[in-house]
Order: sequence, then structure tokens, then C-alpha cells
Amino acid sequence: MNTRFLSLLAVLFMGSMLFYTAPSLPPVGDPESPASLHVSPYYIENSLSDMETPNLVTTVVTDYRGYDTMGETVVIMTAGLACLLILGFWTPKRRSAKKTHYQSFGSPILDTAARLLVPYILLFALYVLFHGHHSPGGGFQGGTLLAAGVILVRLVRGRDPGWGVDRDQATTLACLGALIYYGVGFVTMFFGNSFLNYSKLPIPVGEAARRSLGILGVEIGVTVAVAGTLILIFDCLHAAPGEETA
Amino acid sequence: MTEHLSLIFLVFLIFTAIAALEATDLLMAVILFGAFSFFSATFYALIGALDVAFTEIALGAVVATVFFVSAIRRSSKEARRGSR
Repeated sequence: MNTRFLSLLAVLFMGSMLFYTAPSLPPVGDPESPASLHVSPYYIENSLSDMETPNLVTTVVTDYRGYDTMGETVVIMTAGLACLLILGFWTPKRRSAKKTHYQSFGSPILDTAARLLVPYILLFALYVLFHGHHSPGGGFQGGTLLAAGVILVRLVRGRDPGWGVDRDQATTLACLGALIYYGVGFVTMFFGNSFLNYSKLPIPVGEAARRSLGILGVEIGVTVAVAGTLILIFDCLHAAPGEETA
Repeated sequence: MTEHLSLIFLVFLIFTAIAALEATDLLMAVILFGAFSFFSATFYALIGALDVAFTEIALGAVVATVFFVSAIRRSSKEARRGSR
């Protein structure tokens, strides 16, 4: 009762503070706000000429603010590894481990639907990744869709998916994605003494095209990391009780 | 028009959030949370943040729901009953 009252007090205090300070924020989309006056115009004017990429979100996320995304990729990888550490060695006791736990939910209808859907999901994931320069999407979305395709196969086919990524491979993928991101950074550092400056990539094209290619490389890293991590978390959560875990 | 539409979705957001908190059944709470993600993704799309909407619909509405259902499947019956 006491803790309930205290938490209610804390929530009310925080809420009143937020409502008190919210009106002093600039309105959404206000061209006079500090962010719109100094930072945004630079991105809007220079993004296309700097890296031949029309999608502003992609350029800001992966080039102008590349360090942030690198940190996010590492955070995602760490989340997957933490799930593996916490859930991988813990299997709950279940009184009657029925045989159905080890089989699929499979019915012919589900199986046929998954067979039809999964190739298109995976193809769409790759499209989202490689078209992220021109349309909404990019590494995070593409990786999520890749993982969703693999997880759908797991859900329908159960213990014996036939193909896919097992838990060890998913762990490897999650770490490999972050490594690709850092690798691009180290290549630019080696050739141009500046970390994550894609215009220093040793590729014989124009500077803007080099930066565009650098964005693509980084996005591939993010995709691999996100897909691996999500599959890893799903495998940790989905491991059957009593099953030997790697 | 878009203003009113986004207002409707914001109201839906609040209602699904409260319903998900108050649901007695864990599975029901998860599905309501998926609906919450869907409405917030639609709201993001309406105000023009398509990348955020895409991420929200793929992660929040699809993968997170699958994760939560898997977690419920792992939990014991006692935990499910004593959740409220």
C-alpha cells in the first residue's frame, strides 16, 4: 500500500513536470525552432550532393550520425547476447512435456501458406535493404523482415524447420553485423585517417558515390546484426523445456 | 482531414494502452499491445515519419508479439494465473 502510494506520487510529480515543461517546446515542424534553423537546412541542402542519396533519413542515420547507429548496432548485439546468457541456460520445469511441444503446429494449410509467403518476405527484406537509399527502409527494417521470415518458418515447421539459421549461426550473425560496421570504419581509418568517413573508401568512383556505397556497407552490417539478434532471441525464448541447449 | 484522422488514432492509442494494462489474460494483453503498435505505426505514417512507421510495424507489431507469445508459452500456469 505504501509503495503504491509512493509510486503514485512519483508518477504524478513526473507527469505534472512534463505537462509544465511541454508548452515551452517549439511546436512540431516549426521552421523557427533551433534545430530547424541550423542543423536541418544543412542536411536538406547537402544530402543529395554529398552522397547521391535522396532519402534524408538514411543519410542522417548512417552517415551524418554514423556513430549513433554504430552504438545502436552494438546495443542490439548485446541485447541478443544477454538473452542468450539469461535464457540459454535456464529451462523451466513443465510437468507433462507433451509430445506436441516438439512437433510443429503444422497443418497443410499453414505449411502451404508459409511456403508461398516466406520467399516473398525474404525478397522484400532485401529490397527494403538495398532500396533504403531511395525509399523508406534500410538496415533495421530489412533485418527485422529477414528475421520475421525465418521465424515464420520456425513457427510453422516447429522443431524441424528444414532450413534456416540455428542458434549458433544466429549468434555469429549478430556479432558479424557489428563487425561489418566497425570494419567499414576501420577501412576508412586505414586509408584516410578518419573513422567512418566513407569518402575515404578505396573504391575508384566519385566521392559522393563512395559515400553512398559506404552507407550501403553499413546498412548491410546493421541488417545482419538485427536479423541475427532477433532470431537468437526467438530461439532462446522458444527453446523447448528440458532440451539440451548449446 | 489528416489532423482528425491522427486524432482518432491517438485516442485509439490511449484506449488500447489502458486496455492492455487492465487485461486479465496475458495473451489478451499481448494482442492489445500489438494493436497499440499498429495504431502508433499508423499515426507515425500519418504525420509523415515513414521510416519510423515501418520499423514500428515490423518490430513492434510483428516480432515483439511473437516474442511475447513465446515468453507466455514458457511461463508456468501459476505465473499466468497470479499475474494479476
